[in-house]
Amino acid sequence: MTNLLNSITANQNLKAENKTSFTFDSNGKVKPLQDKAKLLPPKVFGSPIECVKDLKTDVFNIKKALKGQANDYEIGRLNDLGLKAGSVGIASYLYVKNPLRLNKKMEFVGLTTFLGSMMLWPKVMIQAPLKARTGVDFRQEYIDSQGRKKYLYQDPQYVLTDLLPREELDKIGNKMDVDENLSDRDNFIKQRARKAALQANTLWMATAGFAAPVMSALSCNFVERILKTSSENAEFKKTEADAYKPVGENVEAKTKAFDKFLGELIKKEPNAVLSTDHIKTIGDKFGEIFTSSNSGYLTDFFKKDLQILADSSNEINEEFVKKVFGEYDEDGKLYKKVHKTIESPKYSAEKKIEKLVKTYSQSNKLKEELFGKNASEVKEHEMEKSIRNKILINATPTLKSIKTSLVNLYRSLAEYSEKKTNIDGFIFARMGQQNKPNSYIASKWECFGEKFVDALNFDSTFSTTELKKAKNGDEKFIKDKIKQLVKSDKLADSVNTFMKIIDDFNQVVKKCDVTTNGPLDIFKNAREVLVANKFNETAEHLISDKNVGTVYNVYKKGVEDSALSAKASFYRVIQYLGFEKSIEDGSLDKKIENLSQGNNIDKAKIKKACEEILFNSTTVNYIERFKNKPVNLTDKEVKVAMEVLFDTNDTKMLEECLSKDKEFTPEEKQRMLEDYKAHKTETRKYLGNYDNEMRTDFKTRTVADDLDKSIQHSMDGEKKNNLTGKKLTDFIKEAANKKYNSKKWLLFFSGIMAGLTTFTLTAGLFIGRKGKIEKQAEKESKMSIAA
Amino acid sequence: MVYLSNVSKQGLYAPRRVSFGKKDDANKEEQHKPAQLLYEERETEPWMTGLKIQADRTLKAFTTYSLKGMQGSKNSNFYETLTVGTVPYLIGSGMIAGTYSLANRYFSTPDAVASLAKARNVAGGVALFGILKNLSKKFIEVPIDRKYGIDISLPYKQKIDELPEERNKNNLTAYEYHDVYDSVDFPRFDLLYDNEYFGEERDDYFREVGLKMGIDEDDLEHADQKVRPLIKEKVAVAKSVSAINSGLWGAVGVGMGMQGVFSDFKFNPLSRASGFKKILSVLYYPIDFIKTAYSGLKRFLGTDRLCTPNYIYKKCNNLPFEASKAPESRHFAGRALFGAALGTTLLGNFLTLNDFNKDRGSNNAATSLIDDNKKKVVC
Repeated sequence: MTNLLNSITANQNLKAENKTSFTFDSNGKVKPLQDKAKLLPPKVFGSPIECVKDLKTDVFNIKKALKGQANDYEIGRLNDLGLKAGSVGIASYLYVKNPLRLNKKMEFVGLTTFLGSMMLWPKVMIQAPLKARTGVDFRQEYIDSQGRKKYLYQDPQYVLTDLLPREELDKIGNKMDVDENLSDRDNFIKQRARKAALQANTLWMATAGFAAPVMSALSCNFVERILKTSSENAEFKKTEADAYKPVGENVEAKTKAFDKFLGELIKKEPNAVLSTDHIKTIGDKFGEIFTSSNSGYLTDFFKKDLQILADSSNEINEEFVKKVFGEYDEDGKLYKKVHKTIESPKYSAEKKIEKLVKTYSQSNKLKEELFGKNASEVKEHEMEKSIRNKILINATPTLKSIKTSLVNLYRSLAEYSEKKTNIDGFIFARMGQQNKPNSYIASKWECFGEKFVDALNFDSTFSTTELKKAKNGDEKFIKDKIKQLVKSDKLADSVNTFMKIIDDFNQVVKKCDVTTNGPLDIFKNAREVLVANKFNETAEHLISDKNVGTVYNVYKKGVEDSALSAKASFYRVIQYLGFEKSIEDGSLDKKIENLSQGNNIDKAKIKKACEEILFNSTTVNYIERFKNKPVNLTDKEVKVAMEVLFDTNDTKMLEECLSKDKEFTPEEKQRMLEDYKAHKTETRKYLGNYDNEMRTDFKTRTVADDLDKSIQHSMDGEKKNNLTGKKLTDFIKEAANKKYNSKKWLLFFSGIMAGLTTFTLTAGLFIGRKGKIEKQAEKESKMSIAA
Repeated sequence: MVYLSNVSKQGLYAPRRVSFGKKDDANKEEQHKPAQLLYEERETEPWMTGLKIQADRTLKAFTTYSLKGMQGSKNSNFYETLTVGTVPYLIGSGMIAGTYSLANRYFSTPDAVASLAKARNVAGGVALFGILKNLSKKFIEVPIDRKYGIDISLPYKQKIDELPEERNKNNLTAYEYHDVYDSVDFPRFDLLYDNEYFGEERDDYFREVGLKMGIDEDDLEHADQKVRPLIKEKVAVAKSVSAINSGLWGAVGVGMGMQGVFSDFKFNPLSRASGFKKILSVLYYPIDFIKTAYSGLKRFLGTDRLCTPNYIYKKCNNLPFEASKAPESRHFAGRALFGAALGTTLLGNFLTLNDFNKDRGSNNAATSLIDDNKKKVVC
């Protein structure tokens, strides 16, 4: 049967084109095909070209698969393709979902490191040691006769050990200590290799589940630190480039849409007067552009303005009558009849309209114009009604009449909105918290905190316990550490690092100054257009000298506040260090003596009080704190303490530290010093004014009469709050907590990883060992040879 | 074989087995069959059979098969290697969530809470990945089963006579669970012949499928010859589509898990309540999970208007809907992913439920080694 089939096949195929692919034995029968399987050379990473080629084949296979012609191998590969597509899909989704550039990047980093860990773990931890020890490469790949890539040892019952070259086999045998005198040595070697590969495979399966996620997480942690700065900078650069980009196209598109919308409204009712419904719909259209630029607050005022426009009517005077009825009035006869009423100011508008209706209903030309052919049949009251309508339409604004001005206004406001949105992006990326959680200010804040903790760790002896103390805000510990820092020679380095951060920060704040640059112009331009179109309410609430709570003022205040509170917190640290330094070198004692002017004042008490305030205060009310428990200073002492706290000229420590620095240019040093002094002056003005006691401060402060006093007071209050800055312990707590967490996390997972590595490597040593059974078999084989 | 005879000798002295219910003969016959089709179980308990098999395989993957693999047993085979392959999946899933939550004990409360929320998201994503990936195969398989009676995941129990590991030890019997259509190249059609579940005739299964495929009864004289290639084709399409499909549905699952709703979901059922309520909370757990997953899906797609009964009722009666927020770019990305998954499923259904291969007949003749038109001698 077999022979017959063979001959049939042979005969048929001889006719076929590829007859050369068959070989025949001496009887003319077809020999089995030559096997074309071959081993693939070992590689650490798959070459990208090969990956792309494989992917291409897979994608082309889809077509075949959809026809139902795929085989098991191809379906297996499609499965991998599906998983890849899913992984890329989910990474892309998360890329879009995450608002931050860094997190976006990290999604793909996560995917890559995960796949990389899955690939590297068995290679490094199992494959390489096993190959070195036994010569068995348990991930050896081969290509079979059909061109399918497979692992040599994937099926333990079907290992193509025949593919292994002679030398390889001998090498494995020698390394695995298989007796050289055995007659069926190859068989023994193959069995041992199969066993070792199976064990290695199982070890891989047992450990990969733990290893891949942890390895991936650790490497992500590492990559994130590298990417952080660069992606933040890229984010800032992008917003900076976007801030002043041209907005023409968007504005035109929006205006066109609005024009079309108005056109449709007019088409419905050509002579419609601006009604309440219209005010709502048109107001809402404007509201959209206000809302998109964070000034939705203006929408109501805009509607109010529209209402005022609707209520306004043209004054009925000579000009109006001539414009409306001029062409129907032959030789001005009819006008002569009404001119007294129209020109006299004592008659009301209603009276004037009455008179006009009565008079012009006599005009035949007007009658023909209004009623056409039926003019002769028209009754008098109908005629009067039509004329009254005509007057009213011309007197109050219709949609048609105000369309052009509304569209122009829309264009200007849309431009305002687009430009402001762009600048918002720029400013929020630096100063704001709104939709940019990782703003420049936040990152500088974080950086400062980190450096502060580093400064406390000046001698690099922070243990985890100490870090925990800092994290929990242990005051005594922090104060001690600061005192040690002040005494050490590392103070200058730390202070200069701080000053560098503050200086960078100041430069960025300058860029975001909304009072001088582009932003102010945007507001001013929008205001001009609004005022020109008599939308005064809106203009007043957009930007105004008289009104405190305008969109512009709130905007400005938001930016200034966040900058100020950060800056005050930074400088508070510098001030505290200076204070401690002056205690340490004794200059504070002299100062207090000078200030006390012969009065007997307890220096220690004052020092303690000031230290407490600088270190711990969260309230603006210093005087209250000084006078009450636990400090209980007398009035005279309070005066001295205030002088100590708010001495604007006390920059000795900073000057000393800056003079030790070699990186800053003299101009930079000067700039830093001046900024610090300016800040101190500002603080003194708001917080350190003993004559204006804090409680009565806002009552005595002169506010311009036309300002809204309550808003001004609350703004002052907030300013004081911002100037106070953050408590030092809080500053350290935040940063130390972050440091502690990442240290602990890293330690924990590094521990797991180390344990896993040790386990895998140790377990790897037991792979492929000669067991009891193998020893017995070898012994018996030898005995049979001997026999 | 030497070992076998030993066993049979022992059998002479072995006490008679007592059994309740089934007759001894029937039992013997069952046990002697090397492969036993689980058709009846599949018909009566389609879900439980699958779950039981999964549970058995998972348990063995962690215990027996891993142990055999570690010992380098000569009985270890490809089935066991594949089954052990689920171990890293399961451990890895837990570990991915673990990278966010395991170090929590060292963190202060707010940090631990934030980290736990993220861990829950990941856990939700991983769980839904597994669920949707497996469920999505049913989206393709069930319609084919309904229309043609081809149950692609029809399991059978394979009896394995293992070799003794050491001398003078009794041989062992092991069982494996395979699907009839596990391999597209070599489906176990032999199990479908002579099967009383399908009818009295030898090839009744194929006849039934052939009729459901719309082949004329007269053409079904040798139903198996006619229908087997068609079944193979359907199975190949279905398997190919669900291979791609399941990856995409898995991705949708991860997307659902990443929504805010899952950051509050307590995965440990015992931590959900105390006292008597604990039992209730455990019972309620699956429902709660499905509910959370559903709201996760709504957030993933950025819509409240999924095709729910409530939606259809409102739509039919022209009732007003609550105003929903305008979709953001992430919602569009979610919809694209969901659309891709749904699209491939529908494409798979369309391809498997219709026959497009018109020139199959001529193709067969061209590729066949034996020319049907010529005389043949069979000895």
